[in-house]
Amino acid sequence: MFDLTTMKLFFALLAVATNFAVLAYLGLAVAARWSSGAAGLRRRYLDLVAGREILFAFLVSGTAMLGSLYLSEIANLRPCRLCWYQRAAMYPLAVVLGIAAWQMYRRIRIPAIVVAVAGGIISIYHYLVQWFPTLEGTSCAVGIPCTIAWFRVFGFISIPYMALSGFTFVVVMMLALGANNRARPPDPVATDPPDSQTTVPVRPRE
Amino acid sequence: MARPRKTTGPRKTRRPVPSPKKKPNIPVLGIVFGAVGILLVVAIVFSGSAPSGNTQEYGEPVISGAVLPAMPPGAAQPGDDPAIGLMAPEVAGTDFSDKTIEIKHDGTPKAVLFLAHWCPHCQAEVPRVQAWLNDTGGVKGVDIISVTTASNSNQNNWPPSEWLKRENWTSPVIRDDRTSSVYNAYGAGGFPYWVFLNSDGTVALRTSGEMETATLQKILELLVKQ
Repeated sequence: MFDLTTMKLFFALLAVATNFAVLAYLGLAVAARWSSGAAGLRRRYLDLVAGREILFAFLVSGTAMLGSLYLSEIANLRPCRLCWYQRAAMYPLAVVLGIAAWQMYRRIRIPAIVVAVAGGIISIYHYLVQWFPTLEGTSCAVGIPCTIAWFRVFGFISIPYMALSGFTFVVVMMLALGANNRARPPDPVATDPPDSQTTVPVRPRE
Repeated sequence: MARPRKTTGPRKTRRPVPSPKKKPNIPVLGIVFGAVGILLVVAIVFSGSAPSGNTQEYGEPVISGAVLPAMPPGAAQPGDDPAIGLMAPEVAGTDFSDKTIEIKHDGTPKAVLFLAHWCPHCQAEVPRVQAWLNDTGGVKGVDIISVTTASNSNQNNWPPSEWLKRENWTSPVIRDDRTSSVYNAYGAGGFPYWVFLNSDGTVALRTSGEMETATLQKILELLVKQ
């Protein structure tokens, strides 16, 4: 039941789900500049993930890590050179975001974005190489070719596409974290009677 | 997980008054996990019905014996290959018509050819080797056994059975399974991938990539002479 045919479809569906989350965030972020309706939707999106941005990023990167381990260790799809670079980005992300989610360590934002963008760039390159093998100048005759997609679910979701989906989701969650950080202080302060308030801001320590 | 508690200030006892505008608590995490579960069910349901027409493209080969070390990438010299001299695993598999095809250490040297239907180099290799077989009859005393591996319905030239039929491929074929077990057991050396076995079943040579038939003939003749 949990053979490669099933799992690759499952992973592909998960990737598409994160794609929707990413596109919705980016689309709303752009549309919010012109439309107040979009701005409201964006606010609701941010509220939905508020306080859970790091957790979601951890869940997705952790799933990506376990998924890649499934593909290499159980399904015997051997990781190529570029796969390893993406793993070098994804695995630490999963571990560190997990700890950060647990401790609500919001300053993980910038390091996470940097690592996820680096991994995402490799994913984009790898994805392109699979469609245009001449970029790598190699052929199927090489040991574990990066140029060959082990599979393409729905005709386009290969493994680096899944990795890219994970990386972009992490970036978007970290952007949402930043947006929520900026929006957060006035929110609780405004509801408090000013007199009972110390001058210490109520933002959590970062 | 709830919103972060503000436990950093010295006045822990003072909690901000709950906002009257507080939105209803949406169980976001529950929804997320539920959606993931639904996706898993969808994947199981759809993958269960999808490959019904393709199952004959994969076999269930039984592999016995130690797995060969991976083919070192870009091994230019045969001496760089750690598998040379090692006993190759034996394989009992089936071809597209469910006939049993085996790689057995029966005293006959073997040339095992791993083919991926989507690989352009394999697509070039098959007719060239077949033409050479048709012209010369091959080399007596060496069995050529091909393995269709890394088969994938998402890739071009699917299915491999149609491809080999179209090319009038006469050598016996073992269908590898969905996880390319035979290919991996032989060291996964790219495509096309030749593994030449001595009569005692040890690896004589492994080569990756297209091969000229003149070279192939020379290798096979050397195998017989040993």
